[in-house]
Amino acid sequence: MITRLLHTRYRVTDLEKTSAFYRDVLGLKEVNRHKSPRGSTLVFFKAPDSDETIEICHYPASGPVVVQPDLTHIAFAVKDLDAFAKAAAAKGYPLSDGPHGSGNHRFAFIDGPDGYEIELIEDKE
Amino acid sequence: MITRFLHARIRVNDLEKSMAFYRDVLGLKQGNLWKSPEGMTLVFFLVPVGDETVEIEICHEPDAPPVVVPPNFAHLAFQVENLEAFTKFSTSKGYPIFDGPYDTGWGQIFSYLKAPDGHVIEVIEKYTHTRTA
Repeated sequence: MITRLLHTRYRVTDLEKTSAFYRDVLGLKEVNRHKSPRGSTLVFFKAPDSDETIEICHYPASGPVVVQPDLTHIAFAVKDLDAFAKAAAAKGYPLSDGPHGSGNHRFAFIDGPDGYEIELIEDKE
Repeated sequence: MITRFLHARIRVNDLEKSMAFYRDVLGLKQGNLWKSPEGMTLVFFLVPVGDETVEIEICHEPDAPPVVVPPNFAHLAFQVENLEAFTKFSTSKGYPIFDGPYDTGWGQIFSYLKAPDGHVIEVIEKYTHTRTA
């Protein structure tokens, strides 16, 4: 039946602000951008070692985006959580929670545009 | 900086109902079940991506306000081998398609169904053969 995960999609209020976040703060690569037949703009991002994509959707006709607290998040691996946190804070996205854990496994959260929560996980070999 | 995508988490109202959906309708393999000291339960479902595995993390918090998923808010997309067969199967389990199927015109057909609480799931079949229908 189901063979693999292809993408996770989030609808957003400000396409360029969110695209800048995924590109410049998270460092993901924009791999595709197009308009759907019904008029939404879709931008796809990919993490360096991943095949699946994050699909950012802009479709004002669906009304304002309101992200309920603790409704959803996506999680990424980072090599160095402290370095990531410092760089993200410098770009206006400080940690919202954490770091938690210790030793070889640590994790923290930031809030992206619209309040979409992003988890960052550092696992050392 | 970021090296790879690890998981997507969604909060649900009824843990058993959602677990049954991800396990029995989508056919995902259940991984760890973890209870936090505060009463939150996390259940991990494993999804193959190439040679690796990513996780869908189902979260239940008894004291949190009920989950309300706004329209056209978010979705998870999965590949299926055969969309028609999947649709028939999911419908028989009580989860019919609410939108689609559509043909992208470049080798994909796709539909949408709703998981418990209204979380949207997209299912995509990629085809290389010539479709007659």
